[in-house]
Amino acid sequence: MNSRAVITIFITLSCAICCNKKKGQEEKELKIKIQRNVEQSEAATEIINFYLSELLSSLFTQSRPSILNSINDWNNIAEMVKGSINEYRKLKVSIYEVRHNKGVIHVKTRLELKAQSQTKKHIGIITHFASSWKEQDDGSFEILSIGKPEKLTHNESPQLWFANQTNQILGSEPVFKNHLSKGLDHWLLRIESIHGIDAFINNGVALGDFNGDGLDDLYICQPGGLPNRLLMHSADGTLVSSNVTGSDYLDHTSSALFVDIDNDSDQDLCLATPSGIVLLENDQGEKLILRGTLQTDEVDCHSLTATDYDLDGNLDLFITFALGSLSAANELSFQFDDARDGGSNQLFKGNGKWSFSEATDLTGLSASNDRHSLAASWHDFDLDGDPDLYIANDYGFNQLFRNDIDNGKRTFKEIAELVGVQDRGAGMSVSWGDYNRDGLPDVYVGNMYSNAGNRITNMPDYLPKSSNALKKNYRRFAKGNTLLVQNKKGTFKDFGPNVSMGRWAWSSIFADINNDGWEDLLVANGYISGPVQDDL
Amino acid sequence: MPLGNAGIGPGLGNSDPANQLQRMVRSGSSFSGNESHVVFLNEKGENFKDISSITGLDYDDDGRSVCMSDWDRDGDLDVWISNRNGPQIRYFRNDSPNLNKSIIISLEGKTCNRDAIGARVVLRTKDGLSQMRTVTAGSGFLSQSTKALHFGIANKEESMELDIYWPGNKIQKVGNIIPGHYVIKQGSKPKSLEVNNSFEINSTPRNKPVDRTLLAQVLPVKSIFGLSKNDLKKPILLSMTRNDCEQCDYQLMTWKKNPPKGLTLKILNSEKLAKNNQLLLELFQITHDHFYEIIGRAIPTPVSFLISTKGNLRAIYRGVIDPKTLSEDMISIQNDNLDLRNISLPFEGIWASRSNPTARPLNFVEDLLDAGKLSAAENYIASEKNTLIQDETFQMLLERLNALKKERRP
Repeated sequence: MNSRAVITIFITLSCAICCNKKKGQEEKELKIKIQRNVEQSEAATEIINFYLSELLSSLFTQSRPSILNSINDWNNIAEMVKGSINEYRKLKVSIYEVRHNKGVIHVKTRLELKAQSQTKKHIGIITHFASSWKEQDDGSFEILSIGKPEKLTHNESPQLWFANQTNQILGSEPVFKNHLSKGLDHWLLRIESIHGIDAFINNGVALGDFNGDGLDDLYICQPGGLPNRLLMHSADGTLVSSNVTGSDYLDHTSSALFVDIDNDSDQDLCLATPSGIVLLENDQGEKLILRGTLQTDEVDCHSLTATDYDLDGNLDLFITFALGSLSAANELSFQFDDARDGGSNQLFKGNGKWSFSEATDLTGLSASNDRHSLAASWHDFDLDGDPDLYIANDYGFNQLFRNDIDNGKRTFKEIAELVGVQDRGAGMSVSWGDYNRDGLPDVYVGNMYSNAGNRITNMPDYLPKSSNALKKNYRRFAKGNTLLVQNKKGTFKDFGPNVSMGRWAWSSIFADINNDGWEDLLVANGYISGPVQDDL
Repeated sequence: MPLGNAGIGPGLGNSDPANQLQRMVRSGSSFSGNESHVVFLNEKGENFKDISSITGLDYDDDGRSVCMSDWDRDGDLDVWISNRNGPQIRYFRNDSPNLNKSIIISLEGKTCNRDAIGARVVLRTKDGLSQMRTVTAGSGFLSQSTKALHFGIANKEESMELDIYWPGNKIQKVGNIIPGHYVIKQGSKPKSLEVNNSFEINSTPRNKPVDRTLLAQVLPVKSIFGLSKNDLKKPILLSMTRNDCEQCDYQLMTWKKNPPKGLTLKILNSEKLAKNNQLLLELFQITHDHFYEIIGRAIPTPVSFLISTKGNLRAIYRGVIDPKTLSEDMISIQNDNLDLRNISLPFEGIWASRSNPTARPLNFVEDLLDAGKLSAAENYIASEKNTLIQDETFQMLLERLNALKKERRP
């Protein structure tokens, strides 16, 4: 079965599981019917996508079919890229909306063109357009009309803004050559799954100055069976493995932090593993000493963050979990658009001298602590002097916990709905910034963007018997990232679609990449590019 | 949205779509893959423009973490991105075409935590537009960027002022800052960052790992490959080759010249098996896949199984086998006190978890049943009953087998 069919069925059935309370034959028939219509439509989309790619690649050439030639705006685009160097030409056609009407298929498409001119200028064009198609008796498709290119984005630069220098600074390192240069699919075939490696596993990266030389070093987390790697930043900028002992843990490590846990002016290391949070003390920048493991209630660990929520000078640790161990016992609790069977996140309060106490319940963080939490970030969003906590949850609502003092006691209050930051979706990443420099923190949330999801959820026969509200939720799940903008009242508004197309987004962060004082957004994306190429 | 799991819990309930998706990915398919990273340029706080195509960051290797830091100390932010695909990490040097400058601040707390995590710094410029950065530890997705705070200041030349809000709301004002990287200890004046780089570099590069798995799980397989007591007088190397495979030809040629000593060599050919003994071919694949989180992916050939005289599968070799490794392995597998968990891995390291994985032959029977190989499963149960019966779910396994058999009967 190909991935297109699976996502179709996935979205359809997930909904059927959630909302179709009816049992028996009728429900089954309904599901099959929806499936078939959506599948037929998706098959047509695939062919139209191919035709459009063929048609639009003529933009790079001198002569174009009359259907394009007759529209001035298409000619203008062709002017920008024609004569560009062949091997740098790239074209991507993504259909994100399909409507069927009396035998005619209306599609909306995003087109991305990349090229390099003879003068080595880099050119990038993004545009959207509509087109309509008719299926012929032989199963082929005939184009009836093509619309003007709209919402044009045109970029040009004499050079690329970033240079991939991985090989230059890491390429000769054996750790890189033998281990890190190879991706997950390589290791899946070589490491027994029993060690804690799987096809869906995610492992993080941390930067911090481990040896106190003023330069950030790198810690790379790995799935179970492969050692995490501590690599040192040498004066010439290259990255080398060091003689530091005690860093190469083999357990699946989702996330790591360089933090000075014992306030002795060096960077200790904390690791999120299924066995708990491993606490490692930095000893003279030469070795790591195991100071203990904070036992957690769940195993599907994801994000690890440090803060000092009670401002006592000792760092506290917060760990999130996606799957919950209870979900096995209670199958029905998974609901695609509002899952409440996730693992419980945990807060560990630092008491100094490597002592921690569990503070989740005590501080009120146990409220609604049943979501699939993939990411978290601490930030004093209300500027009252203490850090608040935003959690990005998969399959549902995100949470914002405001840090309050209630009768002299630190208490977190969940206010996401109150201030408008629930951002229902497949939350995967959190980053705080102040993009408009109004002095009020804004938050950028990484979500899933899916062309297939957008196509299917917008079809009129998608879940015909479900409520519009539910359909809207499903549509939202495919819409992508969200920038939530804070106003003076302390509430947030969605910035809108201009920053949402980050594809299947993971880390989505603020960073001012051109030093102009305005924070830009970087999005790492792509779910799984397996060895078999039959993707959406 | 990670739909899989680390062998923990059922994921999305036991709903079929989730299972189908998991099977699909384990068998090597893509899912929302081959995408390219996105960069949105902030246009003075009014809008964002997708400039991915001119950034050189738009790689398509399934990115996960993004960590920022001025790695090359030229005043702009460089990027580390981790990936699911290889290479697992990429470094992107910032070469953006501008002459803009920056102020970078590393903080050290005194009354607050030493890392000053939670400290907020506001940079004030004469045009009235402030900038605000906070020291964080952990953000984005599974990422920790540098703790140094970075302020782009465009092409401004005038000196600027900073307000530092240390955790606990103690405010420190710092004036007359010009572009550069500074360290500010709580209550003290800024000092320019000094780099003092001296550490020992690991001078003993590890050898290239041998491409084989000396298995942590010792699985009985004699009934699967129909090995008799007589066959098992010596260890067996069961090697799968195929036609039009250079490495296979090379391997066969070297074995012809120098047959491996102390073992029985059995060569299988996948094309021949496909014609004459499809079942054996499938059982070979099922046995291979049992150990890894994959389903039915093409196994690079030649691939060889080392089976001990006890009839246990002990090692899987990919590609041409190094004779030295093979003879070492034959000695190793006779040792009953091997640290199987560590010996099975390509690299050294430390474990936080104590549990030591052991083979669970019952799971292997489940794999056979999943693949519909009922008679192979029955034979396996008959052959390994003494081991299987110790598993508490053995009775349930028998029930499943019987139910499947009933389904088969017309």
